[in-house]
Amino acid sequence: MRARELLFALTSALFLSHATPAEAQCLPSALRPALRAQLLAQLRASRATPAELYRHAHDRLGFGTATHRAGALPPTTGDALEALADRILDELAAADTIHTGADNLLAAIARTSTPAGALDLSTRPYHHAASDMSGSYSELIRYSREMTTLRRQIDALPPGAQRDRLQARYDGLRRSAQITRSDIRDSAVVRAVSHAVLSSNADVGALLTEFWSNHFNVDSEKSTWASVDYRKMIQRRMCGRLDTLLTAVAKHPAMAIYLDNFRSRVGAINENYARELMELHTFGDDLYRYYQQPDVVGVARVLSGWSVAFDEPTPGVLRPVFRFYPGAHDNVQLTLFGGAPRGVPLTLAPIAGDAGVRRGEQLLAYLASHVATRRNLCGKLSRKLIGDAPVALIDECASDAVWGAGGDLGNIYRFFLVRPELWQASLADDTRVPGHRYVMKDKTPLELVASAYRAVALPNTALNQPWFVNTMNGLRSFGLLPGRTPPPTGYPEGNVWASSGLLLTWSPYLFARVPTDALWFRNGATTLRGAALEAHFAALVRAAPDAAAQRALGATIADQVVRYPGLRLASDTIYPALVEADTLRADRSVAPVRSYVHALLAHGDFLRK
Amino acid sequence: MRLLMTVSALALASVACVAEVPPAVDTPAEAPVVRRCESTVVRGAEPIEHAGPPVAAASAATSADPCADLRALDEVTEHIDALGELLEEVGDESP
Repeated sequence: MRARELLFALTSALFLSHATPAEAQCLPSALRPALRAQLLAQLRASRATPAELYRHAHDRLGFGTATHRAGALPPTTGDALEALADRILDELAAADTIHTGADNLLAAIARTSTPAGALDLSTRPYHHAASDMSGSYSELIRYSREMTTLRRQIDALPPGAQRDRLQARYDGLRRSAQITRSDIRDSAVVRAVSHAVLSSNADVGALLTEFWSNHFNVDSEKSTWASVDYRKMIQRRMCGRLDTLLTAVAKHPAMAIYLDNFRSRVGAINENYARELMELHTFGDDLYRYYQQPDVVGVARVLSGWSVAFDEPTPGVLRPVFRFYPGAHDNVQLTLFGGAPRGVPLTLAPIAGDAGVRRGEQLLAYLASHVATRRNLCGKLSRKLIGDAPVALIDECASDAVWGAGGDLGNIYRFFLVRPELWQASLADDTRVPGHRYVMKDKTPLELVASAYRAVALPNTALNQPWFVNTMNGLRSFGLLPGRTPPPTGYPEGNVWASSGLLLTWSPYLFARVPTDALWFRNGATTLRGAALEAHFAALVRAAPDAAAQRALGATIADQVVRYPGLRLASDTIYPALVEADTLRADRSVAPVRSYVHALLAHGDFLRK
Repeated sequence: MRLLMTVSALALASVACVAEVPPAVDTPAEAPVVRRCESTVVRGAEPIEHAGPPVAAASAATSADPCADLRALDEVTEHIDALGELLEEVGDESP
């Protein structure tokens, strides 16, 4: 035990000596050739077919196959596995690159109704998808000032026409503020959904951004103006070191407000953030093995005075920023964690003035390199990417060779990418879904929604349509709330819809408003959409006279028409769905193509990955 | 009226600094913290001209006076809380 403590203290000291990390990428170019060779070896060792490997890669390293995007299927010429390896590595190399396409698209959506008396501010849905924290905050403050001034004028007037006019103006302002508040909050949700829908195949950057955003969950209901670009901050730092990411999160106003650390000061300590920091963000320990209740108070004291300030870099532009308030910091010597059964003591000496912020940074560095943090995050990443978390895998991930002193996140991702557990199909047969040769896991609701829209080749321009906006708003009732999950745990890894009885209704809901013209499938070299697609299906139904022909038809559609490989069992359900669709086509109560989509995407094979 | 009180509170936070806090160097971990800056927050007294953040306090260099820090943090805390209450007051927009 003594040797372990000394080793840990030495490791922490070495790490702290170079606390300014270099710019990091998830895949530095110098490492690419060796990683490519390892990845290719794993792909070639798999017993799965190239088509299965493509779908598996898209499911595990992204949000499912987007059938109309590059690399959806193995190429007909050249080495398919080399092409897949190169695509995966391209996406990994660009993982921390912010894609602004979805933001711009959402920001271009025009609101159909503008409330009377509104200021010329945000009156469009998802206007704030392209906004930043400074913009959202400045906008709300402007409302606050206008409303306060107007209220004074109203109160000073006697009852009469002039007062009524001002009151009407005030009501309009209030309505606009309401819209703005809702839009800022909803933008955080739709940003997550749209990025998942629009991301490339095997887009590991989109997947990891969502993973870390959920791990460091904030609720945009509470943090509102501060959460609008929180995801972008995370994406920019998720390829560096964990201590850097952890510190950036701790200093971000969205987290400071969400878990109340912005108000914590000497003599009035708030423990909320400190508790979740250890229970969820780092140790993952809810059994008090590595810390005790006094350590929760102690950590909160170390982080007291960490709050928010409002800078004004240019007149009229207000910018919320992190600020350390030395006079509000509980600057006493503290020894933490020594009383816990497995605790490794950390002593923090007082540091006067602005430099006192280093005490908190030292604490976060300690947490980022702690063995419990390593095991917690290695386990979560393993369950996300591989679907399971074998002890040996966790041990290796948590070792110094992989984790590094401060949590080398890029190296950890690369470690998982070339693990045989991810690619070698023979390692785990799942008897619950015959034919599957990987560890299968349920998709989360976000993964289900994103992969469904991707499977039917929903075009980018769909996001600019009112039906998409309405559908996204309606997803609240389905509990799909990335960016709006109240508890600090974030949403669970798995399909919560399965247990809540929503599994049968999500697909019809998701496609209820989608015009059939927005759905298109390929039939060989021909693109079918709308009426042509429905006619094609009707002809297929009439051309399948017996059960064998009907099953063959289903398999053909699954593998070729919708180009969604590996959807084996859907072939049994596709033909009945087509027959039903053909019947319904007569009265047009349900667009046949939607019926087909429901049957395909509600299948158990699609619900898992 | 609650909304008025909320927005009024944005600029009414004040801290009365009555003495300096001595340096806490080598203070035992469990020693009680002695605070000599008394915080007094007055809410909802009168309407104000505008409801802005305490920009000057935030952008100023750190003061040697710990009470100035506490006062600035009090103002920021009140401001964030009041803005949150304002947003809660204006309500949610149903699509």
